[in-house]
Amino acid sequence: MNKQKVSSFQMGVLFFVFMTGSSVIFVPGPLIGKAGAGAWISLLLSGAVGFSILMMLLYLNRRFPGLDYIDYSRALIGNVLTVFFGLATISYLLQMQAAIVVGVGLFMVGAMMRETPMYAFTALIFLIAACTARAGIEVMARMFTLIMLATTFFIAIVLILAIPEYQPEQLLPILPKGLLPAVSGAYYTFGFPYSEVFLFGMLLPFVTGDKPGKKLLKSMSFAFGANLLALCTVTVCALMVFGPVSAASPFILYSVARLVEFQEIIQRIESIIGISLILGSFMKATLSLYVLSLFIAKLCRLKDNNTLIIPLALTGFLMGLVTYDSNTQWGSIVTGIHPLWTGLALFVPLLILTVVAVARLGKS
Amino acid sequence: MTTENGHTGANTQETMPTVTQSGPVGSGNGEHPITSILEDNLRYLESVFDRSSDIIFMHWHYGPEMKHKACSIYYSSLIQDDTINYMKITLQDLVTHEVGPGMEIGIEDVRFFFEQHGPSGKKVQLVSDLDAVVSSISSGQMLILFDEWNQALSFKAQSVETRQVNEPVNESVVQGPRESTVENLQKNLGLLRLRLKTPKFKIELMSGGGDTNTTVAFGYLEGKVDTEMLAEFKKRMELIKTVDVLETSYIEQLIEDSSYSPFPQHRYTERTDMAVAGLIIGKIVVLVQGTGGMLICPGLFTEFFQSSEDYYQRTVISTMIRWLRILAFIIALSLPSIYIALSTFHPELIPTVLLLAVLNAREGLPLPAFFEALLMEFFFELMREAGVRLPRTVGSAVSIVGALIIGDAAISAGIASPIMVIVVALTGIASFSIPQYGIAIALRILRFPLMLSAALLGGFGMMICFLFILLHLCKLRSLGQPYMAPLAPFRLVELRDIIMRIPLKRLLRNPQKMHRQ
Repeated sequence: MNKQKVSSFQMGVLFFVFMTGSSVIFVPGPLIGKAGAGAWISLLLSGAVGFSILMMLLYLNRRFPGLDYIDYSRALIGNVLTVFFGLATISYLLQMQAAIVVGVGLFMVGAMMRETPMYAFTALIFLIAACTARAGIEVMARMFTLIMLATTFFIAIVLILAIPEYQPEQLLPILPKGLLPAVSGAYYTFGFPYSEVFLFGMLLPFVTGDKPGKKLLKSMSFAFGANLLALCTVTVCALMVFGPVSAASPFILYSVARLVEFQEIIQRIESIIGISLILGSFMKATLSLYVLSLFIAKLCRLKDNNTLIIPLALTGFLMGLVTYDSNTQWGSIVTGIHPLWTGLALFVPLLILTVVAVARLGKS
Repeated sequence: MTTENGHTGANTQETMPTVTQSGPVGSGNGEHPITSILEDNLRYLESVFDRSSDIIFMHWHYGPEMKHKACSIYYSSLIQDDTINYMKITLQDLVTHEVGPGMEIGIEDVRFFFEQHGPSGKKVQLVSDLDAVVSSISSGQMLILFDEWNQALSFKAQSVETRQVNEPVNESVVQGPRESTVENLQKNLGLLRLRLKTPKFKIELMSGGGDTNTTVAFGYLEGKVDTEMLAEFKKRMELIKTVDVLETSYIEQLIEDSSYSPFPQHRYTERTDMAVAGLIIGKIVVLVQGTGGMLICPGLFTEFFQSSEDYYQRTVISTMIRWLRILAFIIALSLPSIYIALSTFHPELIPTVLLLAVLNAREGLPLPAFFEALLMEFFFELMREAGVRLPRTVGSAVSIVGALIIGDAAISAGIASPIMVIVVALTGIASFSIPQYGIAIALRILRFPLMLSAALLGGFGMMICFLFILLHLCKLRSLGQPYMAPLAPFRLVELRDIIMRIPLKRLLRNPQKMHRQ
């Protein structure tokens, strides 16, 4: 199915944009709402779980070079269980791509263009995501590197210009109510974004080159570290600006950017955060759409995943239309249900696979 | 100015219908060998060349008592007057110097002379097939047929005026060589060879098809050029063997990867130093007889922002100019749409004082910002096109009228705001400051969908439009190379010659190479 190849550096970039793209703007607000000043501890906790998922994937990738998740799942636990777990995974992946794009729609309607209906935004995001996914992973790798540079630059600019607003004393006390809020925050960030590391099980076999395992381990770990650092930095900056109580707005970075004012020339730069959010979500939506199409094509033993992309994008668009009722309902789905869902649909099957793989290795 | 091409094209068009039985002209496949009887040969040639008023059959005699017959055949439109008699004089010399005055000279002597050493001064070829005779005459050779000899003499006597080497018109520089190509292929190849004194510089010739039979040359530097890319290039060049090629841009369009892309996928230059700089980093240069344009293949996106002068000026200045060009690119592409998006959807993003100025200027305008911008852009494009096509003497009239309409009258009449005029003018100037014309016209086209999407969905629409453009650019390949390299795939080291121009001391020590991915 795949003759395309990307370098391990490019895979690292894809991983970074997938993990960071939209979460850097979406996650800190609700996370601070749950965990308060201990938000960064939540991130470290869930990050540890995310890192273990990454290690499992890399281990399986090294054990089964050139095979993707479905391939080695069939080899390890047989076809029936693979299809069973696969259906659960597909259910979440469908929900996930709809959720990502609805997030953009909500942001656009809520913060920038209040009178425009949301489907105008979600439809266009799905359209461009589908076109990009059809272009294949090579093109995505090339394109997303550029976009990543732009978004990283934008966010860094905002964080730097916001330095006069920082009040470091707001970071303390870290855990006034004990560890429980931080664990609750970790539960949330496990669902979004850290359990989604799983999706790269379908993408890792695209990496080629000599000694891909070692380089891949390095670039993926680096990308993961960069992601954790970015999320923690943004969370801590947001805490320093707004404090643990008032920082719980949905798009915290956007609110930080609103405050920036420099010499009356640089003001109202929140739009570049909006741009970053759209770009990040677009990249994430594209990657999940691509993985979803690969996943289904592999599971059904189809020859070509490209034909699936447009129908899947349409499905995602319609799901976005019908599952979303209100902001709070959507928020509770993402923060409450998604972590459980991903745990069951993504994390558990992968854990089983790894255990089986290790056990088999011990037997032979 | 008239080229060899132009003439043969016109003539063969007249004569082609009569040679349909002879297969492709110039193939010399032996279907019509020259016979020893002059009349037979002439009869065939006359049937091929009938209804061409500029074909000359000059019958003459030579030898003592003028008893041997011969005939010179040529196009009077292609042949220099003073070379017509050159062969006769040579034969006269033959009689005087080789055989001896007054002695009997027969066809045997002539044959011996030409087969063994030939005359000094002119290069002579022996032709033994009538179809080859026809094609050499068409391409400006003078042919002499002798009675009793089944071969013909063909020698180059072509004289069509070509332009002198001049300053490049489209790519002018302040510093650096002022040498541009002309319409003569040999001269152009010579200009390149003069700058690249190595046998590794290979030049391969091909012949185009159709009625023009244009000679096409492509050169590359062995060892620098990517062999896989060269093979792909040669494969695509097979196409030109069946079509009329009049200009280098034909080849550009015949071998490009995506014909519907607005972006040029090969670079076009008339500067020999640009061409050689391309050869050195492993590009292929294509030249066509009869035109001065050289094609540098493959052309990558970032290269369209480079000018040869970047390397002749100081580092700091060149780097700053590069940034200026990137800014110009962004302005030329998106300024009108940014104006539309800001004034229609996001007025809150404009600083208050500026917003008041904009609103003040837009007060009382009958058109929404989108149509205002569309109208002004339309005026501007119209004026630009008129300015290019008009004879130079009338051009100034257009610019006066245009300046009045766009600049003044549109504002006084109340259909455009002064800010809009600034936007359009700035866009125009920005698009002129991009060194390569090919990419500047791509921007002209892309501006309109951007304006439309800005009018529909503001900044969000613009972003979607930009993403589509970026997706297209990242998908595009030129001769198998990613078009956006080294931006995408991202190669940090190579950006030293893209977003800045590092000192030549360092740049030349490890020259840049082309990669594939």
